[in-house]
Amino acid sequence: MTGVPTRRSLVEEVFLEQGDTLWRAILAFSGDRAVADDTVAEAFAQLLRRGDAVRNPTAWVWTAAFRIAAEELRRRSRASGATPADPGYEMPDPLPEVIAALATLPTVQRTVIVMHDYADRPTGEIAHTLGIARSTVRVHLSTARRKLRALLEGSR
Amino acid sequence: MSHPVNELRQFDSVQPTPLWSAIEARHPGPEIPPPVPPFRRVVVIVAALALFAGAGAFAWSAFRPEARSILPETTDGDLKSYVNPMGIHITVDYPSGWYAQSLSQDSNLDPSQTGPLQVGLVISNTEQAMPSPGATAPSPGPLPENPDLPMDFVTVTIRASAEAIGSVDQDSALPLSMDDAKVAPGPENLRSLRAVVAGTPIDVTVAAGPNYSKTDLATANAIVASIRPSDTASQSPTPSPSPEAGGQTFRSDVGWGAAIPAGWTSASFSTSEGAARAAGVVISNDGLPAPTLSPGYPIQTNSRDLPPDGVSVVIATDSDPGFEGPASPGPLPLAPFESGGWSVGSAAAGTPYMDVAWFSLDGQDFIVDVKVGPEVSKSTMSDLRALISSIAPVDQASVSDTPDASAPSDGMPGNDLGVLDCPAGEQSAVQIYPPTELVPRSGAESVPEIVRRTFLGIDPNDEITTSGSEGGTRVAISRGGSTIAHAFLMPHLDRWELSEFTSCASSGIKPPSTNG
Repeated sequence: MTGVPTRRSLVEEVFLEQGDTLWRAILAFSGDRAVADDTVAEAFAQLLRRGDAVRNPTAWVWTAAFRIAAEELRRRSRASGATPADPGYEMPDPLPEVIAALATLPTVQRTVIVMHDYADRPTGEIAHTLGIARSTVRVHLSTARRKLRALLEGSR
Repeated sequence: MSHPVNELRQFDSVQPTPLWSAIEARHPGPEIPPPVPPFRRVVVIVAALALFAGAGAFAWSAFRPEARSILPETTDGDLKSYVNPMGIHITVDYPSGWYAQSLSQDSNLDPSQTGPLQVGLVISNTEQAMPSPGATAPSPGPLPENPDLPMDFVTVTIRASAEAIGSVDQDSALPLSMDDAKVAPGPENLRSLRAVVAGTPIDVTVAAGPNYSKTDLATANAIVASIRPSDTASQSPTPSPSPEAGGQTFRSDVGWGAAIPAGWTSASFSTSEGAARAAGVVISNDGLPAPTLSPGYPIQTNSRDLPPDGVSVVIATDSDPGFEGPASPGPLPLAPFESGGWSVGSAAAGTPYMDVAWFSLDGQDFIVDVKVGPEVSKSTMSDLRALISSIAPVDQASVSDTPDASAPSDGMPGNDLGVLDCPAGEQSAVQIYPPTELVPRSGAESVPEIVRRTFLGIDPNDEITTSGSEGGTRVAISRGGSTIAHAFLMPHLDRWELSEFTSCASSGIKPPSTNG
């Protein structure tokens, strides 16, 4: 069929547009490159599987990715009793510092600050991802910024 | 120190892993099933309906509601009942091995939009379909996107517009049957049915994964068939706005009052847990202890403290980043108890249920959280309704303007900003959602100058001092040597954000209500 974009090409378009930012956001959220790889691949694969059932692929894949990553971190935490963020690869200094600071934030605050301040996702989408009100997102954002600033100041 | 946004921009320098080929490798099969020819589609639908009808008839014979009494037992063998999900006065049966949770979400699934509030119930053979998987307490919320649903999931969803509960006179004929449902297009097996039960228009959907079992689907059909109006025998006494003979009056220091029924007690409390804080009063027919604050949930009396015939009414401020009430609660008086203005809770029969409402008074939001034991008498319910209807601003309340000496009136304690030099019971505290932005008029305007310009009720002689605090600046306002207000300001870009405030009521000092 010519002239009609297929589902795969539409999803690929979303991937080309959002994939890198989403991957970096998940890296910031999880502190783990493997989690970012697996999460982003799974989120887009599920987007492909769901076909036309997804009306807003971009919003959907962001929400799905953060939920997948959060679940993966919970699973790892249960399995090892350890917190995430042990980036076993080389990153430009001082990125490990930022990842370590982010890792100390509660999951909700980490999600909010990464989605909002790094990925520039709309507040409504963040609220949907977390199942909370938009006003609550703003409160978490303020708290997360305050904590992150204090943490980074303290580490330098 | 730069803004955290700038710190996060460092992630731009990390090179992502190329993933498209991995995505394609994970995605099995054709991207979209080819369209089914019309004739074949009819055959498939007829065959499916016949199968559903057969399975439904079989399951209905085991599940039909008139075959047994649902209330007050919590479970009946392998069955459970869900009563009044989110205030819809219906009861639904489901197998004890399945999961059920209340639902509350915007009707528009586009996350950037907001539509009318949809409420209802989700029942599924998998916990992953629940709004709050793993939750140990009722936690109504939006449906998850469910990226991890197993392939054999079967889910029944019952939704209604929160505004339409009890709005229709004529109910649909019962039992409902998914044989009457429409088949919706999409990759999942989805059928939907519209009906009216207990005066409420509801949308019932049954969704199933590609590997669903016929047994589970028949069970879902039987769940739908069990939907019926809840028993309403214990409802309806006429509320009384005045305290009965022997009753008390209560007048809070934050502007509301209430008529407390004879024999009931009231006690002030303040509590915090993590970032969550609540302060107010608990009124009950049983002298209950202070309510429990659990982050993510409204302040409430612990169900273990509530006797079967007990009622507790908690009226409080509830500042919890993980739990948010309505953006703009209405003023007093409250809607009649359990009417449309209440978020009517749900519970398994035989356990306490909880109803919640909010109101706003003098710029502060209050939660009214009512917990009702399973064996509460009609007279106690009547007292409760009278109490609720009597809650009013003190200047207009149906209670005495003079505090009853027997009723505590020690006001609200301070928050993390510390205790002020207030007369007893005068200190009130508020978390400001979202924070009020305070923009300096120039780069040189100091925090005391900003506060003096924007806050209300500050006298020229009041002294304003600041001190560093975690991530921000703490402001103290003193008058005649007494500290009468505290505020917490966070720096944000070129401005400040006011997020917490506490003051003595007699100081007249109030935070700015709009960004300035």
